[in-house]
Amino acid sequence: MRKGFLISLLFLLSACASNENYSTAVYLLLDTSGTYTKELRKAQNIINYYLATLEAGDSFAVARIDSGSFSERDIIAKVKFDDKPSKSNVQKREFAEIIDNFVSTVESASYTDISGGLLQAQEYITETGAGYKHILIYSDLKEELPDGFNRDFDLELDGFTVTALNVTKLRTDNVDPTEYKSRLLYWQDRIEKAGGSWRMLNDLERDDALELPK
Amino acid sequence: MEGQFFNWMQANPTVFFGTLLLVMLALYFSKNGFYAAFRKIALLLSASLRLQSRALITMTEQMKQRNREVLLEMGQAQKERDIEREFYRVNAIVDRDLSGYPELQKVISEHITAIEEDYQKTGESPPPSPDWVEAVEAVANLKEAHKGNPVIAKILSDLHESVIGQHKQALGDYREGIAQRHRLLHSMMPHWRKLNNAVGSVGNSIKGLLKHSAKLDVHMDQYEQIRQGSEQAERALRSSASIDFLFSVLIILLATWGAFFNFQLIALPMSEMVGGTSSKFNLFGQVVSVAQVAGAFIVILEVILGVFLMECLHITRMFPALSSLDDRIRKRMIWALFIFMFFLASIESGLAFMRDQIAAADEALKFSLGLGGEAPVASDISQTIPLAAAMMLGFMLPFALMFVAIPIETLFLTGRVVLSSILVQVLHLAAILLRLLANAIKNLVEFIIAVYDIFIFIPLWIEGAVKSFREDSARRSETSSVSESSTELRP
Repeated sequence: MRKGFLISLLFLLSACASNENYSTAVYLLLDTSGTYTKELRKAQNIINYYLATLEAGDSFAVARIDSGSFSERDIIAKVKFDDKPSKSNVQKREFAEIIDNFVSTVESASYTDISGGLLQAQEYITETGAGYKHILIYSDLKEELPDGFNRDFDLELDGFTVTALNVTKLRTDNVDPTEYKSRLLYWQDRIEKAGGSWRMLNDLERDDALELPK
Repeated sequence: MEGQFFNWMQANPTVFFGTLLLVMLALYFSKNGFYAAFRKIALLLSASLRLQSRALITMTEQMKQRNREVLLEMGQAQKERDIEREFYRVNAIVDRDLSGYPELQKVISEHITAIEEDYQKTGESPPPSPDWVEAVEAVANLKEAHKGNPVIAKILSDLHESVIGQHKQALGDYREGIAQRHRLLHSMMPHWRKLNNAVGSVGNSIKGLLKHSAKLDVHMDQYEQIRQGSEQAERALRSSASIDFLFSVLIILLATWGAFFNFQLIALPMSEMVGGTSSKFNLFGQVVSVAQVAGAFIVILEVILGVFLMECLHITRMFPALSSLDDRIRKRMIWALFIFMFFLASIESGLAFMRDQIAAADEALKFSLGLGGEAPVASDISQTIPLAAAMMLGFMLPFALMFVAIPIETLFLTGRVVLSSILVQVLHLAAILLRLLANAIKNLVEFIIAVYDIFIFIPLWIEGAVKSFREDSARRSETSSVSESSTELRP
């Protein structure tokens, strides 16, 4: 019986040896350009969903996509949830309040720098060291850059999952649907070339739509 | 591929049939070699399988023997424990009931003495009638009395009156004596009753002793049978072991369920206590947090403490080192373990309370985020009772889990016998299968040879035809030579 106990103990210890990082980091990019600001109330529900489902030790950041998104100033709120449920509960409430203020006071941006936002998201998530890395883009994916901005660079998204949410069709897309398709293909191609995996979610009403793949 | 082959065959029929014929001839001429090779291989395989089968059967027999020894050893140990327990009970009866026997004997003696004294008193009779009665009789018989002497008549008359008075007094004394005896006999009754009760209680104690001694006799008989290694004892032990094994498995499964429930009760609040929810591990393919591991550790610790407590209480005997401890140290350990258990149970109760608070805070957060959840409004249904029940469960479950030590012990004791018996059956089945396989291989060779013969049926047919032609020719030549010789012999 003693032998059996020792073997079980060794087995248990060897099983415990695998201590990868199982925490999740989510970076949500909110498009604030043009008329897309009207969609931000819907985005707030998505943020609330992730606030409710993310666990202690997970990281969450929400940033705006504006004329120049590769900047810390564009991060509206960021948090790493505390180990203790009582503290993380308080953090979640504060986070929700910040987002609520932002959505109430947001002003439309003239341009849409998605690439800069992605680069900022990549930096932030890599710093967290999370095991599961998610970038969510709440945008119509139409990138418009101010003059002189260079966004022709390769992203490094190995191990990242990039999800496009609520990709609305523009008026021009209705005229020529291939424009919409080619826009989606452009981003998919760019993400996959950078080593990330691409998802697109337009039907956010499904129960499991916002679940993060592990 | 198949189509291509058929196309080629149709295109080159001569080459195909020529090749087929050559192959057929090659197979025909090498048939004896093939037959021998097939039979040798079959013999080798079959012999090897039979050998393995025999080895398995030998192993099975050895395991059976070993199992039997283990079973009897186990039964013997169990019976020794039963006998020890019965002796302990007998000792308890003797200590409890018969230790007061001298006092009881004293009481009985006192009652008997009192009864004897009363009995002696009842034997006292009133004083006998005075001697002058005889004198009166003598005077009455005098001759003058018969002659009607008035003096004598007067004396006699006086005497008569005195006698009557005396008689009345004697009768009164006698009656009083009888009444006194009755009173004495009446006063003996409580003594009789007390005596009867005292004797009855001794009788009950003796009955209890007799009952336990009868049980001891049964245990001793069974013990003797086990020692002798009788078939009946072995069968009984095997059956008992199987039932105990199944029952203990069932109880352990239920206890595991209880332990899981206990774990669920404390896992969430443990994160508030130890933190560490962010540090996660992969445990057997399941990602678990440090808080969950800590919760599971507490449940396991409770079970371990329970096992040790049961061991110290001599309810189980898995660890000889604990069972053989000095009684004084053992009692101290019992108290220490009990206090540990009490603290753990109190901690669990507190965690159950905290769990309720955390769950309520989560619900409130979800509600504030507009994701459903329960609104923190006043309700008619009291939340105190579920909270109190959860806290009570948190306190009680560690003590309930303590008793899992008993089925664990039974599982370990009977598991070896039951699993070994199953293994023996499996090995026996494997031996039979190997034997069947050996026979099948032997017969398969004959089948392969028959199939081989089908491939070379043309040369074989020719061989048969040649053989029969030769035999016919030989028979004909023999017949003609016989007829010729008979013609020569004819005159």
